[in-house]
Amino acid sequence: MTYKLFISDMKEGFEPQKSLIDRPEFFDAGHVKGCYFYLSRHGKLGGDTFTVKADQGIAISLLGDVSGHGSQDRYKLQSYTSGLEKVTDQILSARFDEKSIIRGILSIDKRIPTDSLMAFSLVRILKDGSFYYLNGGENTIMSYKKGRSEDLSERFWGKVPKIGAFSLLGNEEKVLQEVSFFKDKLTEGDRILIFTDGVAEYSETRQRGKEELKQERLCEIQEQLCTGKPLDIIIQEINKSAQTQLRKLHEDLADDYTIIGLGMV
Amino acid sequence: MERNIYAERVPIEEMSTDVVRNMKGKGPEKRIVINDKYISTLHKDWAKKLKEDLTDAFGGGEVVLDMSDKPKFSRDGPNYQDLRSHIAYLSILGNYSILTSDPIDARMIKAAGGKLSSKSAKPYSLNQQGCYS
Repeated sequence: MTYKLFISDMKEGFEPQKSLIDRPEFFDAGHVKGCYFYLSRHGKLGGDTFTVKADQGIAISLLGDVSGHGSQDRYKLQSYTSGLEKVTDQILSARFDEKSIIRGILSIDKRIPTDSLMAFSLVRILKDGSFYYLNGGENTIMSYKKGRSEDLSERFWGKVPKIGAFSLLGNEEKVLQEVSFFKDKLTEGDRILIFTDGVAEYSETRQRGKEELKQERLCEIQEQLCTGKPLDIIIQEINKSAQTQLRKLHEDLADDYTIIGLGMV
Repeated sequence: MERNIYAERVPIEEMSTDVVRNMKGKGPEKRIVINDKYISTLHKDWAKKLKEDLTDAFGGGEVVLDMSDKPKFSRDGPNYQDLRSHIAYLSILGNYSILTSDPIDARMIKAAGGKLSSKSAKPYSLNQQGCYS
């Protein structure tokens, strides 16, 4: 049975969460159970978008900081998100041709003007626990395995750019040689959190200074992942803390805010 | 659960002394300060203006894009996260390095593919701090 969930604030029938106190939504792919929380800044078009698809495995694509408003930008965004859906299909495919997937990313990359760079995360988890991931830009992929957490996105620093900047690595052949997924194995109880930069830096004050607070926020997310609580509770705790801080500071969200949690069953 | 140790902010005064000459200076390194004043003159064309300034300043030697005096978030113009990301992009594009005192900014610049100046704060790493249940 194919399970498909395509999320974007452009898509009919999808109601994004309206505030940080709303509950995350669940999805169940059999071997992986997960939930997502998506909050758009001021409810405006743009920001983050993601796709979750499941069949024999599960594939997740998350784009961060897609920017633009108005009908022209809406058209561009639809083109990016349809490209993202195709890439997600390729990730889910049993063939899993990495080069085709990277080519799919490059085809989105070519359509993006240089003032619209997008962070991206791609994740694939098969029923036997095989775990593949690729990350470019400020999105974070965090794992929790055997009692220890790791920020997997650090492995891509300086190696994989944001979508829109791939041409800087060189021609297509060079990109295909240099950019590849990392592979790992997940077992029962292992968890993955994927989130955009808006989750780490949700307030203007935190962007402007108070570095220890911003580091505290990343630690807080990491520590929540280590608690062993259900994923939806972890996400709610992370959100509650942001909500409390924003109220104290009398601020709104500074950016779109997306978290996806995945748990190996 | 282990508690994390925080990365330290680098005092701006310490960073600035030998890095800075001036934007079109004759020193071994040149610096463009990306702050509120700079951003307020740019509005929507900030990226274009910055590119022009970089071209203007680039005449040999290292050009440092200094973000230590952070620009304010603007609802009309670019927000700080976008700005930081695009400066990271320009740094790979033009072989410039970015100076920041903030370990989280350094982290995000590094993640976006940007190059950090040798005087910059080190990127904050969650893996160096560790978290165990």
